[in-house]
Amino acid sequence: MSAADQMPTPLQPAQGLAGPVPWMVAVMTMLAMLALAGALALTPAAASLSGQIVDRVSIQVPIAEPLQRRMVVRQLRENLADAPYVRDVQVLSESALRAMADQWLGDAGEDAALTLPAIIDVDLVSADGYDRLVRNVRQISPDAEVVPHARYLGPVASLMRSLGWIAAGIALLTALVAGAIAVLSARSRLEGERETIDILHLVGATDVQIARMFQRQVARDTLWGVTIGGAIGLLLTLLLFWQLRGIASGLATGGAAWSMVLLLLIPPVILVIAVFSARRAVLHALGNMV
Amino acid sequence: MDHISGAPSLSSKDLVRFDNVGLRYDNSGEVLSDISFSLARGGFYFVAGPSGAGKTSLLKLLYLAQRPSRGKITMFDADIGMLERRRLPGFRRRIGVVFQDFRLIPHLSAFDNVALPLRISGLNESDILGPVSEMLDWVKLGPRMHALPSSLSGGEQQRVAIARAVIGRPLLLIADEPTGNVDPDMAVRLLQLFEGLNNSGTTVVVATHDLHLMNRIPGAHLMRVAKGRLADPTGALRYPPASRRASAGLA
Ligand SMILES: Nc1ncnc2c1ncn2[C@@H]1O[C@H](COP(=O)(O)OP(=O)(O)OP(=O)(O)O)[C@@H](O)[C@H]1O
Ligand SMILES: [Mg+2]
Repeated sequence: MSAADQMPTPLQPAQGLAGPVPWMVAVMTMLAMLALAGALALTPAAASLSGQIVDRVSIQVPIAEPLQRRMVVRQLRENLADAPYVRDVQVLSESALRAMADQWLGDAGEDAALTLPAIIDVDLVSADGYDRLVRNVRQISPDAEVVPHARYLGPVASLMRSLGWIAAGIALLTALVAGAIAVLSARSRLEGERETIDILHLVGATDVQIARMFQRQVARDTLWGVTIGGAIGLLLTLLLFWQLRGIASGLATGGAAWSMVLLLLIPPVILVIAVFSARRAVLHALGNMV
Repeated sequence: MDHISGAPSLSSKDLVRFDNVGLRYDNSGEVLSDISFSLARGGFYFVAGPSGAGKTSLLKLLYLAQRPSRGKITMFDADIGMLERRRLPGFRRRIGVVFQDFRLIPHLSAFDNVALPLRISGLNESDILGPVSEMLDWVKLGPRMHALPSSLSGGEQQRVAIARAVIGRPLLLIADEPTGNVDPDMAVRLLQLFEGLNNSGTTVVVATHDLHLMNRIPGAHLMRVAKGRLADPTGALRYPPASRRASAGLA
């Protein structure tokens, strides 16, 4: 740092929060953080979802007569537990089923008139075992139905994955837009400072020295912007995560600390992008002067 | 900190030499034509001529605000027409300029305007305060050193401009009508400043309408500009044309 870096700036005083730039940058920072938060929440959720579904199937046994149904279920469980292509077999207890039904049907479910199918969850060693499983189940009970989870959760998982990528793309684009805002503001400043730039050149200032003066102003404006936008973005993100935890428990898990680090990186990254692009724009413009 | 490549070398006797220089702005006709002269190191030169003759244009070539449209300018032993852009700051730091319209930076105080060349060339703040205050005292602006240019009178602004031009003890001082806005006493005082600098080796070029000033500097040369051409009745400014032809013939 020499005197030239600490000297009072010969440029017009920065407008600070009175100007539009910090606010535009603040909005971009907030949007980038929200988008990235979305991406970070969706990606692991989609991954854990698809991890759960590829090799998991449910067997429904829709037999009304309880004794016969329990017998079939026992048969199925014993048969499948020994099958080499099955990793794990879980029979959902009737009370659990009843509780689930009550959630949907209320007291109506209590009427014994409504019969519930038995449900057996099966984890396959690999998805290849599916056909053998179906054949096996049919032999024991032609009424039983085999439902691979992928059939109804697969589209959801891939949708979540797509949304995650889109959100990540939006985060990147907004960060770049913040850089573009910095470039535009530096350029318009440059126009208004022609006379001062000429004088600086004539007293022997280098392009780099002049660019640094502009850089400092852009840095100051952008710093305001990323600080305000970052604070609001962080607040909203925490609020959303907190809400999401209530709704989709078990989906968005793990990597929370990592996600926080990535989110908190957004403001400084935008600052660096803005200052760097403004510097390039100014140096380019100066290079075309006498 | 800022590395200026190729600092000007200072060997030959002439600091500046123009060979058939022409200058045109945009696509209009030449405002300067066939300008040939040389400035000896340590010389004192006045540039005179009617308004619009091209005095300021000539000075702009000298302080490297313009490059010649044709001809050759040699300064500090470098061909200015061929000089790379990145080498310009190093040359400009050896030139002090008083602009006809002052060109003070409006957001900087008188002090900071005068300190500008020193700060640009990377001096420490501790080496700036003393000389700048002293210089402002000399031009009688000590009490006004924190004022912005907009609150200074024309004459005061001109004195700030002069202080800024001489503060770095340039090798070449170029002043465009530097006494146009000050009273005669201050004009004499400012001329003493230039003379002092000249005595310590600075080559001085002053454009002025005021030929009385000339009489105060014994041994000063006069360059008359008229309609974009240099009149040189005494031939004092011309380097021997014969020797130039001879060297051209040898080449
Ligand atoms: N930037 C420019 N673009 C185009 N023409 C210019 C420019 N600057 C000066 N001129 C023209 O060049 C000619 C010489 O101008 P210059 O300023 O060199 O004259 P001068 O001798 O300094 O006059 P004065 O004594 O009034 O200051 C004038 O005809 C002027 O109109
Ligand atoms: Mg002029």
